[in-house]
Amino acid sequence: MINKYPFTNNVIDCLDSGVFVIDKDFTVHLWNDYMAIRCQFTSDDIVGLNLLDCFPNLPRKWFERNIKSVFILKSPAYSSWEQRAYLFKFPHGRSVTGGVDFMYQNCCFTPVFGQDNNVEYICVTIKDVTDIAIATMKLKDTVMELKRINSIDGLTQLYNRSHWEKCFQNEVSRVNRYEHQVSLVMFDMDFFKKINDQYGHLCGDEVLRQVAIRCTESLRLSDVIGRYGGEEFCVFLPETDLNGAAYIAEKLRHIICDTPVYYNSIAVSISASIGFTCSRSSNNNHEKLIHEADTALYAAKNSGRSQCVSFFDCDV
Amino acid sequence: MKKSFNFTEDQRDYLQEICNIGMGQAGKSLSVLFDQYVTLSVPSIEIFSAKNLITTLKRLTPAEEVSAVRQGFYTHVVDPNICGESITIFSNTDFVQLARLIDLDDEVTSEVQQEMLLEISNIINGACLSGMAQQLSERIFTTPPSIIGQSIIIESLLNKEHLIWDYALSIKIQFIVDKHSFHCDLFLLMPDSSVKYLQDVLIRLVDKL
Repeated sequence: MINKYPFTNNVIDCLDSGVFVIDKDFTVHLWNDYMAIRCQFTSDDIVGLNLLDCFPNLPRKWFERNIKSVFILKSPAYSSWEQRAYLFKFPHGRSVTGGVDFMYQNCCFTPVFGQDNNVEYICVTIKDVTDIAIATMKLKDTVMELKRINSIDGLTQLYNRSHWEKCFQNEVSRVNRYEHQVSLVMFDMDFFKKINDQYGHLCGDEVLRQVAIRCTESLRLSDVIGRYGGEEFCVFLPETDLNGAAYIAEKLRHIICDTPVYYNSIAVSISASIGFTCSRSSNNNHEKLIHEADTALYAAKNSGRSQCVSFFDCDV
Repeated sequence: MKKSFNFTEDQRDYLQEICNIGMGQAGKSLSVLFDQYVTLSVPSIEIFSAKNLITTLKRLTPAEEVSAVRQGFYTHVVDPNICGESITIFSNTDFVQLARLIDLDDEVTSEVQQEMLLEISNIINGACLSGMAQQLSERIFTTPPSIIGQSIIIESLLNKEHLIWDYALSIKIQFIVDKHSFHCDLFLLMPDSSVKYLQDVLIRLVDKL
């Protein structure tokens, strides 16, 4: 290569990026210090050799394809860490704080034109983007975790009210659109205040946790349960009619009250009052259905607790 | 077409011609690159207000979900004659066929799909822009491409509040390889000044005819 300025090579060695130049046969023509101190090849070692022979771990086909495209199209090709973490497996200084043992890289393949305006060489630059990569990945994890926390009730690990309502709302609009069915079951723990007063709030918490576990285990995968508030829970049952809802409600009532919850070796008897309803053939509204199940739930409370009541059996 | 940029029929024809030549070169280059005969359809071009991008997009691509890649381009960094951002939109992409096209034998994971989208759009964008640059006697540089989204709905493609471009030149391209047909839409979004410059060049070129 003709060198315009005698000090260009020194400048290239000062760069905080990997720079090297190859021709269309992958013969190396330039290799800067940044590259040299990160692998076993100094400039003197590698210039004149075939790059792919020296680095057998390079993604050969990918490399050949991209080099070819630069030569033919005369425009640059790129590689980004988000799709391909690195081209050259270089060590990185953040193995302690970053949790990664290699350098994430953005690479750029730029055409170097000869006098006839054809591509004569390709200049490859390698940028260390490990810090950006680590920060971006942490941010992604954090966003996912925030999304999870935002939709989960911390105590019971069930969906919280706002997230459950959103799911139910979607389900109801799906039901309206495709003329499907959905049932809704809401239940409330009986005499919960008494449990809290008698055994303490930690015991009350344990009761809610146990109820959540028991219900989740006995429900089908498609059923969606949430903690509606305090000691009140809600479940919607996709593709389930009123008879199905009555069966599930009774099943839930049994698994809640048949076995006491043990707290510090004390058996605490629990029960729940349950109300349920079912969607109609059209024009369903999620708030209206919740209100119906709630009405049935209060009817169950008023008729002596620990029982299931259908909204269609309530006097309204 | 927008009233402030009333391209005459001659100017539009010339722009179409520039795109045709650019695409012709792109097709030739792609044939050599893929070792298969690549035909590019005659691009249909349109200039519209960037605000209407989503509406236009929905008209041009009937698919519900699309994948999109963006890439910046400029002739100069300061006071450029032409600058902007290109968006390549892929709809109903058959990634297995695409992998065969670029002779890929890796498993087609989500990262591999993204890399293919980046590669193909960089190639098409590069070929198209350098073809145009040549016709306009400019040298156009590009920034590295990045994914806007994969299998996303068209509405979530752009943040309308932050759209800094005034106009969009849409170039609908279909490329056919062997018996497989792929298509993607290339949109060049440009500010007022670039479209004005483009028009000035077109006026000069038409006058020379």
